Amino acid sequence: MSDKVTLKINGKEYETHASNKVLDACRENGIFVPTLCEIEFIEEPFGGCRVCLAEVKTDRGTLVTTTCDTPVSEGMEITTDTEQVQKGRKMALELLLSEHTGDCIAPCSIECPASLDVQGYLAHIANGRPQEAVKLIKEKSPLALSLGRACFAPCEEECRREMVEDPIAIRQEKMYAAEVDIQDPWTPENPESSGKSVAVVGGGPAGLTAAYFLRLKGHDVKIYDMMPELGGMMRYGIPNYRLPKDKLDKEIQWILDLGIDFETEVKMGEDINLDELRENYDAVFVSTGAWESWMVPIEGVELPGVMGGIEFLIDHTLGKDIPLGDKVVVIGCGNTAMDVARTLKRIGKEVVIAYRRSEEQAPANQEEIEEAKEEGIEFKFLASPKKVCGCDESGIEKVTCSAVELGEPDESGRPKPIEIPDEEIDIETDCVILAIGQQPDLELLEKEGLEKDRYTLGTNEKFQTNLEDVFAAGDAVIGASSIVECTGQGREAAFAVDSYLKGGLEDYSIPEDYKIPFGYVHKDEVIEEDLADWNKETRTVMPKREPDVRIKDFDEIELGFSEEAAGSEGERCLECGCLDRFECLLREYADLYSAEQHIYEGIKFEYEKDDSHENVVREPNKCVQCGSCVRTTEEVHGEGVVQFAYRGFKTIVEPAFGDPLGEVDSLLIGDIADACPTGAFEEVMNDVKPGPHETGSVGETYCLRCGLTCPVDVRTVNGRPVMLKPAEDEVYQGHLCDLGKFQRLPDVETIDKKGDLEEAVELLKDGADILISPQTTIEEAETLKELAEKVGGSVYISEGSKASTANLKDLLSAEKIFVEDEVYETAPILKMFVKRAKDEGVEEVDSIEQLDKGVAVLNYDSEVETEDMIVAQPGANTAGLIENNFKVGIPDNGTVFVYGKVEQYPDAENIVHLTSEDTENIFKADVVIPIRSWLEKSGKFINTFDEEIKLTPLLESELPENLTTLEKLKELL
Amino acid sequence: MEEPQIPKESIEKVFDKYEAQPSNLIPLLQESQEEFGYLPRQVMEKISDYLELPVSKIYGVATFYAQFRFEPLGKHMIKFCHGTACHVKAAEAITETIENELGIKTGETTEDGMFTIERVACLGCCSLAPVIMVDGEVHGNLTREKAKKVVEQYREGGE
Amino acid sequence: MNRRVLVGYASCGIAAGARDVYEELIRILEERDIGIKVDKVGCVGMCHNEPIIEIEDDENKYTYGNLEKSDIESIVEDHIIHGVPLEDKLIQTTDKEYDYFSKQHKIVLRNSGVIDPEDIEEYIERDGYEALKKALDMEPDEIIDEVKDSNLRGRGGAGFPTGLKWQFAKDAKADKKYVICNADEGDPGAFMDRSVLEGDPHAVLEGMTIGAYAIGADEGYIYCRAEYPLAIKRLELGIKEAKKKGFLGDKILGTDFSFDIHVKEGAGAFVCGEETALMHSIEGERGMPRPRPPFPAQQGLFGHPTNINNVETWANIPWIMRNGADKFKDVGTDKSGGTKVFALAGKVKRGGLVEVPIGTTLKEVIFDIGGGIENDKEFKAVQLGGPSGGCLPKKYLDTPVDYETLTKAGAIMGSGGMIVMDEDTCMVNVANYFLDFTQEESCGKCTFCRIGTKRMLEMLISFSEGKGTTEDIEKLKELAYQIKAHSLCGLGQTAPNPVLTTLRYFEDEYTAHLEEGTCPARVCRELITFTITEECIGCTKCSHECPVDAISGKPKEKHVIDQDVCIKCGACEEVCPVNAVEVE
Repeated sequence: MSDKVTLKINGKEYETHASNKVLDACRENGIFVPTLCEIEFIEEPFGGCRVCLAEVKTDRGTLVTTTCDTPVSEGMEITTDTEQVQKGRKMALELLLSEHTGDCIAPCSIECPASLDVQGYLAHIANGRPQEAVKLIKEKSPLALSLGRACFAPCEEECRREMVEDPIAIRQEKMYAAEVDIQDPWTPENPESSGKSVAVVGGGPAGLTAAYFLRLKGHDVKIYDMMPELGGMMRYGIPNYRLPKDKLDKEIQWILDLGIDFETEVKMGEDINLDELRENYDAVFVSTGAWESWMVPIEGVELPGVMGGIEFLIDHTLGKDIPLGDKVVVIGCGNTAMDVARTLKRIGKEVVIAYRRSEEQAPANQEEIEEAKEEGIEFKFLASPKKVCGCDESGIEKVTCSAVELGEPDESGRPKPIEIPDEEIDIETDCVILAIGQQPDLELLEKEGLEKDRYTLGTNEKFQTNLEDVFAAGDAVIGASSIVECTGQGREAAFAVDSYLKGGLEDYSIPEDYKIPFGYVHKDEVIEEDLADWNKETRTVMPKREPDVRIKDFDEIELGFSEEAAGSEGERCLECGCLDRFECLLREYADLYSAEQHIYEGIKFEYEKDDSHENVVREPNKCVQCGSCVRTTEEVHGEGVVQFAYRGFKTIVEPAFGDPLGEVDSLLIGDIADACPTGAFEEVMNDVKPGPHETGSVGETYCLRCGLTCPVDVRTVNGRPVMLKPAEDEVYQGHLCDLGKFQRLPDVETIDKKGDLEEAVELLKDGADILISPQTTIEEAETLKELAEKVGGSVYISEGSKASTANLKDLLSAEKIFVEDEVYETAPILKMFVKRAKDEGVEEVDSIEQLDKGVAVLNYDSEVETEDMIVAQPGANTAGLIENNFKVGIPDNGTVFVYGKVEQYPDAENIVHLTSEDTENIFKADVVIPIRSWLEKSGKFINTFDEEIKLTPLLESELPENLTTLEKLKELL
Repeated sequence: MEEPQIPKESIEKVFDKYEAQPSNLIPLLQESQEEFGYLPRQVMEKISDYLELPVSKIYGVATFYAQFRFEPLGKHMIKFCHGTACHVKAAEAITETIENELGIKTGETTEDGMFTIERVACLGCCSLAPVIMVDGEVHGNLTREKAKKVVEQYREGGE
Repeated sequence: MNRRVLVGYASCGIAAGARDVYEELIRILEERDIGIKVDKVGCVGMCHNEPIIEIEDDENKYTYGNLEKSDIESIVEDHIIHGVPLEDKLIQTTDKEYDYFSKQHKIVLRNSGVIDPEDIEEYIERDGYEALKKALDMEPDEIIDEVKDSNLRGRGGAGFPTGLKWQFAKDAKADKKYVICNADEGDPGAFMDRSVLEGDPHAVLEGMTIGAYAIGADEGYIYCRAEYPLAIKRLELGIKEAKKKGFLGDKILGTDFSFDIHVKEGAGAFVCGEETALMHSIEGERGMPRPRPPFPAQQGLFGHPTNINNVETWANIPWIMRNGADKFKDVGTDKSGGTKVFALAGKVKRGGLVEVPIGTTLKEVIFDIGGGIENDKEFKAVQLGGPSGGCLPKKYLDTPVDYETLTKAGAIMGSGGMIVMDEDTCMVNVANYFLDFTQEESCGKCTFCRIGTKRMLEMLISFSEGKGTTEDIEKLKELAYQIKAHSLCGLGQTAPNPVLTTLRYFEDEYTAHLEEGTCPARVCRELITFTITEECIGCTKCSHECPVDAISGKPKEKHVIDQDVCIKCGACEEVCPVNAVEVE
């Protein structure tokens, strides 16, 4: 009988092994079938998640069934994407989502109109890496500096920390990070020209953002702006004391430096026509903003002493002479009204703000209102301006307002102001400024052939206007808004333009990263009690200049956070968003099948997050019961870290007796996190705040922690190694022990460097012994041997013993095996191989005496010796070093030269330590010199199984090669 | 709750009857529960050592089956049958009556440690529905009045 | 004259008071020094008449039922001493058959209630182990052919042909094979297996031994519910006795065939009725089913080929071997031979164990055998197959009970639970009940069963509270279909059946809950109110009985229920001597 069968998948014929399941057949031919519970190296399917459905047709009939457990058969026809299949998959996912509790993405990020990864950048700031924070921001907006100063921060309104005490000072954190960054700004790679060109009309936040992203997509961009300088409302609408012009200039210059051309004082419709632009460019992006104030139709509005708020701010910025008188009434209570009033105050006016609602309903930021009050601006709330009375032609006498009381909520949800009949408030004034809203100049846009949509410029959802090659976004389209909304719009519109330029808008959909996906799970009702475990930490107060000083000039009010303040403020973040955000399969699939969270409502269990383990967080609320962790821990190494407990809807995966994970005595816990497809078990990055951050792989190498040299994949964030994952491998099958997985990753910068090579020579020249790490390469060891000869000492390795005489193959085919308990403390992953051997039928005996014929698995310090043995070695090259006749022991006389990380530190008079890691002992050393770490160096090893392993550097280093350093030292001696 | 220390010998006495092989896990749990009235943590840990299975496995199996309990029981165990026949014959009313009578909910034990009440799927005495089982003794064709009397009878009996 | 007394001593008999009756009988017989054999026998089948004793002599058999301890004195005095049967407690005599039995046909239950199950000799006397002797003279294939020929189908529920199943296990090449008897009768409302095990354990042991010989197994397990201590005791005793007699153990009856049986106690999990879950449980694992294939016949217990049949199936085997497949086929329908035992219960006058030829109509079972509906109320539905089955309405009463017809109607034959429901039964509540059961019993492994059944239950609960719209019914149906289609094992695949059949036949009851906010059967508490009518005589009984003190009123005056406090438990209605409590 042939061991191959032929079947059809989606109409195409394939041949596959007869013992395969349908899912295997699909996978090996690159046909996508989603699954949450299938584990590659465990043969028996689990069949729990029921997501891997497909339509299977055999001569016995057609049915939609799970593919992970359906064996292939000759002539079978499989269709992976029928309507029924999609429906079943979707429902399985919706059921899973219905019991899933947590937030995929933190509410602050969800709320951010520009989709900034708030939790991510706060984590970078808390971890002391402000520039990485800015890099993250710059993935979504080039305006970090401006946003840090002038964003109205809707994120803070959603910040759950408010339920503990106060929200995080998110904007101020950004201000700090951006300020650090701008000194030497991080800049993305500047791509080559695509050959396409775009004209951006309007250089405000939307225009600048669009220009930035279009340039990063490779297009040639030129910005046209009607004003003398770029920046739009950021320059002309926001006063200097909030957003200093010199800062803005720096930020804009940094954007332009990417190679963006610009021309100012060119107004579309006057100096240049849209048609011309369309002729000269492949696309046009219109972001002309909303530059006209709304003038309410009240009596006297046409009098000469009445003007619009934005016009006033523009004229003021341009340094124009504005006739005002001494007293000014500002009507409105939004942020523009504040800007107007506070500017007036700074030029010595007496200012009254009249607003028809109460303070609580004012659209301005509360902080701005407070600051305005501090600066001596008078507020008249519940005063609805009725008429402006002029006394003579030269000016204005007063504003008459109706007194107002609050009624039932109106459409906006705010209480409706109701005028109290016959009750009036008169405010004497010389001038009235209306700051109640702005709108785009539609007349001009229409003249250029663009169609409007009520009060603004019309576009479709892909930012396209009625003209195919003309796109628009920002205030011109959405009406007067904010920097953060405009920068978000500018970015998304830029991607639309990019799609258009690359062949068609059909392909354009908001990139996944920038939208809230379907499968996004949001924790619905969070109450104070849920957050009761968090200690109260006061919000860091932004230091400001005193009101009486600051009203005398236009200098910046805020003084900025110190490094320390920014760090501790960042630490306050509650980390609402899921740590598995970038890798969660449930989220990915839910999005793919448009599965929604709320289709099936019902009870959910709300278990507490278990963060008792140093490196792995357990969140049962995110468990999909796929069993991958249970099967890994039970079937791969028999460790039994967790199990299913209870049954039915109550089923939960937990350690025995529901104990905290941190209390489980095991060195094979990280494997569980790697097996978990969601955030139920998640490895935490070793930092103050874990992010989450998207990681990239820099390649594979070998773990040097023990003699087994397991293959590992090194994950980095911004080039920093942050995580080790098991590399794909037939032998290790994607498993790694905790000693390897959670070892401290090298970070040369943290080493407290003491002394230099000359000082080392001073100590060594009179003679010294050398103690080397078992992770030392053969080449390093050879050089060190020569060095030892020079200084008249010996080379020692701290721990070690005999070499192995057997290998894994011998273990798996042995008749009997004996394993010393301590082995698993030195090389925990050996448990997996022992289990594998036992599953093959190899008998494990309890004592060495019972092992007449077979393999003994011994610890490096074992007193036992047998013919066939595997010795667990404490470092990658222990075996190699022993073969090369290095002594075992700890020298403790006179001067000791320590090379690399050693478990036992010598108790010597003088210590010279060359190290790549900041270990707990190095403070004892007299001279500490950083060297390249295992991720940066090259060299050879001989591992426990007598295999030669070659290390190639994965990361770049500013330090010289270790051999160079050693040679130099030798020379100096 | 602090568990009382259980003498090693009484645990070993249970083990003596069974060979140390995984398929004896459930009989060992049953026997232990018979011996101690419930499954104390120490016993499950000892079973784990004895069978050389991870303790999580013992815990996972024990929590799967309805038979096993992890808290000490009251002196008398009342099981309410909620089989289909009992259900259509108003078993719920009997449960409520006894819950009220004892002042506890299903699954709980009275403060004086006299009674533990629990729900079972079916006692297989469907023709006598509704039924309850007290300490292994089935009482059938119950009414609220009769149910109260049954409880009273055990309360007075003391033992 | 050979006389003996039989006391019905199955669990149900004991529950009804058989122990008292038995002890009293022994006491009086000893006191009076009367030498007469008294046997404790298994279930006689007439559970509605328990406690039962039968007095048997060479010609006649007299059955007494509904006995009290106080009746024994007169039975001994009149019947045993003076030979005059006591008319008013007599249910049947040899001359006058109780019509409860007239339409029954006993194959599986032929010994139950007749022999002392704890005495192997009595079994042997009734041709016990003859079938084994005969089988051991045959080739395994001949046995399998005989079973195939008999049209015996699995009595556990799905009705897979037993002979074919044996064939698969026999064809599997392996050094070691197992047979298993599934005695984990988890279906709430069924007790057939218990009665067989308690009443005739050797029939099962003999059947298993024959099966083991046929497929080549040398070890067997009986996986029995821990809730059946008497059955376990009798099985263990039976195994011991059979071994002594050489019917079990090494070199059975002098042949080369050896076979041993272990009894494993279940630990309370309905899902362990599923083959793969059951095997996991025997292996000491959580009773979670695994995907099939591989089927147990290829890879079963401890990885070896295994054949699993349920109690009733095994108990049929000795009869078939003794009497031949043809005789078995004579009973039953074309497609399925033999009888089926039902546990008839619910709102029926005469509940108990009923064994009828496959193909008998529901009406015959419920009305002719069961005597119709209790208190002469209106028949509404009959539930077959427990949590995996369905509810059939009146129009299906003429349906013959066989695998195909029942499945077509939306129910299943199941293991034999048959619950009769009357006009006071709310079908939404029934659906709710079964789903509550299955979702509790779900092993928790697969998404559709674990979460899906929970969500269905939540929808049903809100229906029973009058919340929801008719669109939600569609949503419920869709969910139910998907759960049926995509669950991992039989439990999930059949869990929606009670909901789907009630929706199919009683959708008007659902819409009454949702659209009118009423429960026509007046069961759903959120939708009913209790009030006291003018009939009230002020006896105060109700206010004493009320568990939440919702009823007030002076003695001899009309009482009033405080609707805000009332929990609608119905206690008042139950105690009212003048039916003055009205439910709306």
